[in-house]
Amino acid sequence: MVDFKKVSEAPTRPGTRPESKTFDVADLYRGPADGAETRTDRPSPLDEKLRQAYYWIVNTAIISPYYDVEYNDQPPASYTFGDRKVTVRLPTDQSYSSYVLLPLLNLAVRRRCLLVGGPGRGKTVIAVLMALLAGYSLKEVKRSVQHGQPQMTIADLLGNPLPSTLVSAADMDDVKIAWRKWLGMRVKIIDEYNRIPTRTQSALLTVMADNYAEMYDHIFECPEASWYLTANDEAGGGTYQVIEALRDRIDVVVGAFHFNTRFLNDLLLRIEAGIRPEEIVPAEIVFTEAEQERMSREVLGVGLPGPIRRRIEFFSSHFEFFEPAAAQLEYMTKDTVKLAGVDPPTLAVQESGKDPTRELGRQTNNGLSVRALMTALVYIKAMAWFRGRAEVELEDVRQILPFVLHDKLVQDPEAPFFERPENEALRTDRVSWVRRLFDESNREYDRLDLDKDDPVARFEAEFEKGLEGLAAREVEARLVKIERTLAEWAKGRKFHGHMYDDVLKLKYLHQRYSNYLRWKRWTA
Amino acid sequence: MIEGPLAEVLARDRDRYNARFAAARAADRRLAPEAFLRFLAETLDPLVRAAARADPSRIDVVVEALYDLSLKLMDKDCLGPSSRRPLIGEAWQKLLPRIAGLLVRDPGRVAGAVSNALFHLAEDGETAAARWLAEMERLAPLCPDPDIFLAAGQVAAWRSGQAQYRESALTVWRGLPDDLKYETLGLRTGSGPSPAELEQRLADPWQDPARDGRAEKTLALTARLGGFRGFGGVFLQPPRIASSNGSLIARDDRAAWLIFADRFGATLRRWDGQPPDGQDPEGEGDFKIEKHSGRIAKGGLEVRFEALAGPSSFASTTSTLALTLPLSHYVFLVAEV
Repeated sequence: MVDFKKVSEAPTRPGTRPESKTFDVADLYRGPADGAETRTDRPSPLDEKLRQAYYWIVNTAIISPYYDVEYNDQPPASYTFGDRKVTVRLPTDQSYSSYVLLPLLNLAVRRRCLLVGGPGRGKTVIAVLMALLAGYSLKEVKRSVQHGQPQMTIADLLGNPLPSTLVSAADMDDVKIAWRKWLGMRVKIIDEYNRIPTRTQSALLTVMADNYAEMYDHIFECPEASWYLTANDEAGGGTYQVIEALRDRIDVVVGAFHFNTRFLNDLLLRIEAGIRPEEIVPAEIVFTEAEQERMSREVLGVGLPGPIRRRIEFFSSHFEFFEPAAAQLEYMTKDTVKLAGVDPPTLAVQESGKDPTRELGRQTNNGLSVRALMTALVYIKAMAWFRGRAEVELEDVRQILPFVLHDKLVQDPEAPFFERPENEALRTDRVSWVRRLFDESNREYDRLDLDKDDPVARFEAEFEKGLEGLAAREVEARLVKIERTLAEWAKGRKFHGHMYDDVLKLKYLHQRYSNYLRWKRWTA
Repeated sequence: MIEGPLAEVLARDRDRYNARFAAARAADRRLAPEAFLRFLAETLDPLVRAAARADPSRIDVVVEALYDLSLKLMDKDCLGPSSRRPLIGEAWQKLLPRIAGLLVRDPGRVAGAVSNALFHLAEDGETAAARWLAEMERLAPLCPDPDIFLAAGQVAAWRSGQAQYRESALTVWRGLPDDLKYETLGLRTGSGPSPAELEQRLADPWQDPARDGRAEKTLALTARLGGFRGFGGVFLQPPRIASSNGSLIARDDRAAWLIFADRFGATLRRWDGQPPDGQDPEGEGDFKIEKHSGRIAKGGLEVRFEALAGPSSFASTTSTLALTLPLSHYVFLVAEV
């Protein structure tokens, strides 16, 4: 039987806090009448509160019995079904439903989340729940939801100039604007954003990207907010094509799951009891404005260990390099091809000497932007924080990347990799595709033994100690080492995507050392 | 039949309150409408009337908070006819109406905190919980706001026997208004020792702060705690004592417990930490024990405890000696009092 107001008892993730021999009398007021604890200077653990919110949503609010974000602390039992060898794993560590997890992480990091899926799958409900968790009343939330529709004007979205001031105004400063209330909210919901006319999308872009609205030379500064956009069509189509800049501002994409018919009885119970979860959000999982700000700060404070950062760098380095794009190294990118108005796949056949099914960069039409990388790092940290970790683990990266890169890494469905029967499904399942890319990248990283033997990392470490006071002889030695490394690479190995940034880095270091050496000789 | 302010609020927002009851009942079919109605009539109605007398403008807030809280507590068998903690119901009927002026200011927090406190205190027996309830009825008129009321409650919890809270309760105590500093320790305001002298008395956990500590002292058996689990105690085998970083730890083959003790009580709290490292198993106290005779000495004091002769283990802090016997499931505490 489901208790619609029941919040899971802490700790929802046992073992994430160190044990203590001290007993605090503040604990006296924590118990069955939860939410009644005394005010203390000791801040409550917000990751625990967010996990409680997660469990309240999955157990009572949204019927989402899925665990697609899988964690294992021991090898999981797995079973294979059918001719296509579909693998079902039983995770051994606490695992999560992406459809609830990602919107919650988005609430913590205050970015932009797109919920996609067919009608009636609870996209708007989950967005509304996020606003309720941020402390707004249901009435406020319902009024603030912006419903995309073909007649939506900029005034509908942003507000109106007050007619009386418009008539009497001598200049623009005299015009008063009645800004729409949703602009000032910390959770913003745009329902069916792909039904908004293109011109209004541009106004929305300014609010989303730059956090302000502009009308009649007046500016409304919006607060930091968590955005939730919904769309029925995953490709961003709809009544109007979504402008690319707007799509690019979306930080994370999560798909709604289908309804598992085995849970029909739960639906029946709700209908019989007349219960609407959004009307009974427990007070103890509602976040104050200060808590939301603290959450965001705590997430950014999660550590990213060097070896894991290095694997993210390695993964990201596969995609931008495109040998046939240019004659000079620096321009050998997919961006060069796009700027020339050519589709990268049309030139891809010119790439030779490499196995096109194994070259990860061949599967995409673009590389990763700085924004995409920054977004990925924030959500990866949020995932680790949600799990009560002080530092990111590799699995956090593996689980989060697909949702951040979902729309940011553009797949080339014609790539030879997808022609293999076992990879065909990855054309449509982009979450598994990105995860597969990351797994393959890690395999390559291990094969190259980069954890132990990474010459570029050694050169970097040397360089970061600074040039000041470095003897000319030492600089010359370093230059020789760089040249030897490049010569070594040039000898036997093909020019793979992951080598591109390394070669550019060595060229950079070589130039810095050369300039320093020249200056050193001149001053001598 | 309920009449008055509670009935009016429920009637005004009938659908919402009905939906909340339906949600709670969907979760727990044992929640009988008749029992809840009886609770509303016998407990919540008089409480809401008292709140209405204190501040009629806050009635909607009070009803909403207490209605939700009572459903939550009933779901957990802490209120209503099947309550495992009858003292919580007693507090709703006696204490909360008496503090209606405080309750209306933060109803969910005050009623929830009182309920939670009684829930925890009753785990160590109804006596301590009843003592706390009586003490809160005495202290409530002296508390100007809910924060101070709840802070006084924390000090009262320590004095009702929850020795594990001693250090943090004393921190809370230092932040109380002067009159409550005296009253929470059982002293009359304006009488007795100076605040500095009080602090001095509180430095010794075995000193009653309400009494002059200069009287002649002796060594005494101050507490016996633990016992065989089969008879409602905590240990499966006769326990052994060790010291770890200034704490006393009792352990049987299955688990370990921290020992907390002072003038107002002694408690054991389950501990899942690492076993003591063995560097200082007998602790830091200057107790001297003659094992075969049970003679114990500290400073210039010496007493023979025949019943404690032949201990299986012992350890001490600067103020307390803990001993175990080979054939007993209890831990014995000796201190200078």
